[in-house]
Amino acid sequence: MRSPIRLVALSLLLLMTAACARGTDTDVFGDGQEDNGCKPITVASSPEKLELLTTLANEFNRSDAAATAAGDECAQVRVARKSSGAAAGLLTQGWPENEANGPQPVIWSPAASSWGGIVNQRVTTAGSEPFVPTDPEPFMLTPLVIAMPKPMAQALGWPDTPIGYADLLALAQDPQGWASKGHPEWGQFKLGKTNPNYSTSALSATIAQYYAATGKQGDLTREDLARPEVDTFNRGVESAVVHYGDITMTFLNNWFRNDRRGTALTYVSAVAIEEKSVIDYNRGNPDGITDPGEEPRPPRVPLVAIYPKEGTLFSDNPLFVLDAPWVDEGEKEAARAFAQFVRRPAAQKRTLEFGFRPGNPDVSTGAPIELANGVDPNQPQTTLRVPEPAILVEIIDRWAQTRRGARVLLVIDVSGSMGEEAAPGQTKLDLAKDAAVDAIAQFKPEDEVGLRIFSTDLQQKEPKDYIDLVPIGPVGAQREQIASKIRDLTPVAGTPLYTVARESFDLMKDGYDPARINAVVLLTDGRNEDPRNDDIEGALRFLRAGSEGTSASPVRVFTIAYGQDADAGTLRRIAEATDAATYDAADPATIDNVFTAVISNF
Amino acid sequence: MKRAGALVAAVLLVLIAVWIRGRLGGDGVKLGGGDPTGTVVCATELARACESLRVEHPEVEIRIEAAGATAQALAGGTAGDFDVWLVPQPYAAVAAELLKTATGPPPLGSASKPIAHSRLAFFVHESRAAAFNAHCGNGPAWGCLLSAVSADSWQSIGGQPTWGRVKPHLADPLETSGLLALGGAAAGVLEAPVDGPTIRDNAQFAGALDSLKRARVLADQPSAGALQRMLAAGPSVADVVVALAAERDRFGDSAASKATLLYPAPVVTAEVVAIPRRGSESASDLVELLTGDAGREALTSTGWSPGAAPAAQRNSPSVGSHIVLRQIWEEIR
Repeated sequence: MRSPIRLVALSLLLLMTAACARGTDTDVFGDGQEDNGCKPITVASSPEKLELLTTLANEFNRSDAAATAAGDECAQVRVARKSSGAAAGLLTQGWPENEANGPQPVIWSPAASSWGGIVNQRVTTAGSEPFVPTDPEPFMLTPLVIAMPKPMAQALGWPDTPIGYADLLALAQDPQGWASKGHPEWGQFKLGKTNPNYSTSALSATIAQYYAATGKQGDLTREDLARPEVDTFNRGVESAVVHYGDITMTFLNNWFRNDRRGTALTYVSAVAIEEKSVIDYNRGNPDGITDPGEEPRPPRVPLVAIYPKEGTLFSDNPLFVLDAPWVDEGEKEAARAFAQFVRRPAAQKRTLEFGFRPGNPDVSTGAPIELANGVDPNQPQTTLRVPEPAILVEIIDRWAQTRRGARVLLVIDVSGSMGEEAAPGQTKLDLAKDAAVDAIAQFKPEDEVGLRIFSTDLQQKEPKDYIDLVPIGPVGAQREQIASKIRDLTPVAGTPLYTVARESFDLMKDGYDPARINAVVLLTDGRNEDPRNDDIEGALRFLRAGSEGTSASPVRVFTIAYGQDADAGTLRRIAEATDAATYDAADPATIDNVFTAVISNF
Repeated sequence: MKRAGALVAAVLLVLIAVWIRGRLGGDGVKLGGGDPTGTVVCATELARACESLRVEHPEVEIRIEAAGATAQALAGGTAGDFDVWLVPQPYAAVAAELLKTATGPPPLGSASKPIAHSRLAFFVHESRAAAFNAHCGNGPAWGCLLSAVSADSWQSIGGQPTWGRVKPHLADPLETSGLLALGGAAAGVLEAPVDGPTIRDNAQFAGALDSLKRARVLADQPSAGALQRMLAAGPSVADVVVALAAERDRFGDSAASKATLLYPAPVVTAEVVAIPRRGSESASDLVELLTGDAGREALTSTGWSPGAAPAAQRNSPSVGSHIVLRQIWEEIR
């Protein structure tokens, strides 16, 4: 019997860490992380099922099945959060083991088995042996849907009229926007979609777009992908995207916050997410995690799931027992025992509680997969085939060109505290500079990027607190210049956080480009130290006023709380005021991963 | 005292009788004592039976692979080490045929008599069963499946407009159920006698196979995997899975009730045989184990029916026909 205090503490740790700002994506959960002498079996799990899988791991660890799972040894399953795309990237590199990446997994559970094909394809291309099994059994299922506020879906004819990507494209390209459907107050059609390099929802949605563009339901070919009309279709859909990102929770949290303010219908019109997220949202729990003391309150405007008429894909949540060089036979045996454990009917019934459809057909789909929650158990009617791995890789590569362009101002804190040592021989600023230079490489040449630094009294003339080292312009022409300027940065004085947030936002609004994602990326390790401007509420009012409503030219401020002393709370409020997201790099060693996650928004 | 002596003698006699029975074969008790050891290669459809056998006989190593892959490896001289191949027909016969043209000494001995059998069936999703049955009229047949997959949509054969196209799953012919299905389709659609040249010369049948291959869903899955996905995710994934009836045993009643089993005419059946590897010292003991009570129990407890199939269920065309069907399937792009 475990101590109740310990269990409560563990639960709090689990919930708080999962719910807190976007971080290193390597948090390890599971009962008794301390070494209990059993063989540790690390599971790298996609975030949306972390709580469920952790619960099941705890049950497994206490069961007889764990006692002899690894031959004569006992096993202890530990679940670590890692987004599907990030894990795929690490596996492709052999999962370099360090603090930021976490331990090498024995089991990999991305949201969909298509990621396994992508990893195998990439390692094979690199001349190595594939190590992800090709025929996993689904742990649980959830289809990709287009979530829409109910009134918007009704304006498109839902539930009687089937709706698909082609309809959304037509609406996105209609100059009248929602006015063409009798709702000018909703403005233009705006789509929320994550980045297919990281997110399964986005990967599935991008695949579905290709199918919709070709009129096919299977057998996509390279020739299909290269057809000009297919390219045009995809660019059209992407042009409606408000911003990208690595997880759908960013959209759902922002949507929910807007719902509370009564602006849900003007934030975004539709988001490509998994069916289970619609249920979570409508229960008043948009990120699917119940914080301690949180009492879920249903939204004012519920979402409904549109199952695209062209077809969709299921996330099948496989438990891949990796055949990787770092996995021994005992670990494989234990991993298979755990995979078997979670497929028992008792465990499968738990999947329903979390809004998934059971992968074991012996457990029937039931509540909460029901119309009252905005989802339809009798849908989808058509499932699209997962393309061949080589085609999947090409779809992701092509997306980098078809995605909506970006116009981004990088704003980097060069205050004195950035000169503190973060690693042997390296300051916080040194690590941030390396990460920022890497991030610059991730923009496509047509994206427009500028560089601003800030610290109190940087110069005598106005503006005293910031300097634009590189004006905003096409990154292809000035990539090296930006990188060079970043490398030359040195720490100076204090942190004029509110002023720089406000004025950077203002600069981007002045030059707003409706064809692009307009954003500020603001990195700071401190709190506001500017005696001339300590009015956070005024700054937030200013940001909010410029973000709300259909007439706004939306500029989003993505913030990075860097180091232990950063004012994470204020940075969160700044991000939320602009419907963006905040990222937590409390451990400076994670700044590289965090920067990558931030840049995934573009 | 006399009574006690008589009792001891009686117990001894019983024990001796049991020992002699074991020596005469049955239950896998081996001459000289101890369980047989060695490696059994099992066809994919027999995975559960073989795993069940391994639990009872842990000294027996089990390897699961598609029957067609084993047959090709044997014919190419690249098969790994094993002692016995447990495989359903028609692949035992196909392998024997392929080996006729191979160089070197034959690697396999004679196949055992059929240990168990299972009919090939259409598992039709419950929501589609009424429409499918109506389309098939006088009873399910291969011709009606082929015409269904060639149709534009379910709606054109009496289904709902929202159902889209018919989404059949048929395992790759490297799997027993896939090859058996191609044989069943040929036997059901072509006029007798069905042989290689008849199949080759029939452009209409080739066209039907082409439609079937193009309409096929979950092409990378064996039939058990496809069936599981259809039952779990619903008919949007697959709505007709062609699989051995034994696969039904994988699922509980709740899951199994989501599919209707139809046995298309003419019925074709997979019969399981054990084939020893020539030169293997443990092959005969393993064959004895597999053809004895232990093997039968492993098979029947996983959905197979004991013994050979009734004659009425053995309608597969010739071995040569199966080889030609495999070739035609490969030629379809």
